[in-house]
Amino acid sequence: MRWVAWTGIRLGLAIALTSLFLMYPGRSLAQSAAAATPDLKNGRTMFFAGGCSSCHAAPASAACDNPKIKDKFTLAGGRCLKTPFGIFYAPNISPDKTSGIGDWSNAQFIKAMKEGVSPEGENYYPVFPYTSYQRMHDRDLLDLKAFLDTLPAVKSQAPAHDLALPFRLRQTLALWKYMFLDGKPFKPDQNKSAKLNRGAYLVEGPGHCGECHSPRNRLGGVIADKRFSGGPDPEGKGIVPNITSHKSGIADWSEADIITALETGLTPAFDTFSGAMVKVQENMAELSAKDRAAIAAYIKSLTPIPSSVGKPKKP
Amino acid sequence: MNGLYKVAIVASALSVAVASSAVAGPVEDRKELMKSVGKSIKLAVSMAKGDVPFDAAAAAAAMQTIHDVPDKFVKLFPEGSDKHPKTEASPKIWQDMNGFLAKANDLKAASAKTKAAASQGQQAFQAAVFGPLVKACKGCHDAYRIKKN
Repeated sequence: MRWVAWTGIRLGLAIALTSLFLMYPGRSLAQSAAAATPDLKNGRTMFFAGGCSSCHAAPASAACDNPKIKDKFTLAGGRCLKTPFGIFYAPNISPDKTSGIGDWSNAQFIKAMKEGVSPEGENYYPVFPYTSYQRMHDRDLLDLKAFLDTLPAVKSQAPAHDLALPFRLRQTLALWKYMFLDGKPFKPDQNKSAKLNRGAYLVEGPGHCGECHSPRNRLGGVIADKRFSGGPDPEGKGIVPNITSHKSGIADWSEADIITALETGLTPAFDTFSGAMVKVQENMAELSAKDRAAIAAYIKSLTPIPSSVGKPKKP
Repeated sequence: MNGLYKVAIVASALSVAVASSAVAGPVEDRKELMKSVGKSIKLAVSMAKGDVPFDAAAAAAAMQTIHDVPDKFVKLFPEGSDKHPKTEASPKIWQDMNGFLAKANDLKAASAKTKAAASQGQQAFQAAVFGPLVKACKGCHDAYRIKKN
């Protein structure tokens, strides 16, 4: 709770500074939206890699935090995320033209995914992981949009977010973005294999693994040099583990172990994933075996860092 | 002397209390039961994957072990046992006991199904392990367990 108060104070100060940044230039619209025929199969891959349904699929019951979903392809929104900042409600991203995103242009969709800005020009909260999605290729985003357009349209308005005061002011997000949104697309490393680059793209871009598997500073930004060393469970009292190959992380997991875990949900200790990772895993199981292998290779290549959370494992 | 004597008594009493709390109590019992499930799952998955030769009788026995757990397990969640420092049980269990009991029943059904599959050979067993059985594990862990380590 203390850091929440601190964050509140700091963000309060930030509001004053924010006026300076209100002129923050929105990054130029990606115009490479070439009118190629969208690849729906690739769009489906991006849908599962991105885990859209984990947040945007309607919960199975009236309880907004019911972990069960009605249907992963019905993205009517309404799921609530209870965080230290307040309660966020995931919006409707089904193709409904009024309550969903059915009337968005390609450029508006790309702007939302890469800049965190709505068609109305409003800043999105980074609970929507555009800090990762900004790495995605425009081609993949357009395939994703085309895939989303094939899903059922549902008329349903999600409740407004219910946040503590400083966070209620969306203007503060301009400053937050100035600090934590670098606008850099994914750049392959020419010295690494195609497999490692594919894994890096899936993990850092659509997969947004680092959003939960990393600690954050008091302003809610990922601490760059501790990326992937684990973080607090954004909702509960638990932890999201270190996925670097440090001995306090997953040093004892082989690439094959990671592949099995992503495919089946079983860990090398014959336990299963918990919490939100169960849905992530079920999405990962929908990717190609080649993509899962690429993810595993990249995860194993991460620099080992001591865990930022939990007790270190026995040596 | 007298003072030291008292300290010794208190210390030994405390060590007994600590020792007994380490072996007894619902949280420890819960963990032991889950460990027994883990051992059976390990055998089942190893046989399903072909890492260990398939043995229909051993597979069925492992499923019986799992099948016997949920009825005992669900009785180990008294009020207040969510406060134990080592528990990974989510408070949602106490908020939604019926939902939790339904998950326990899912595991009974899945282990019974997998036991039946064991008598039909390795392939049927494999399909049941990676199908309903693991699904039942995950189905409860996603909602009712909070990973702490």
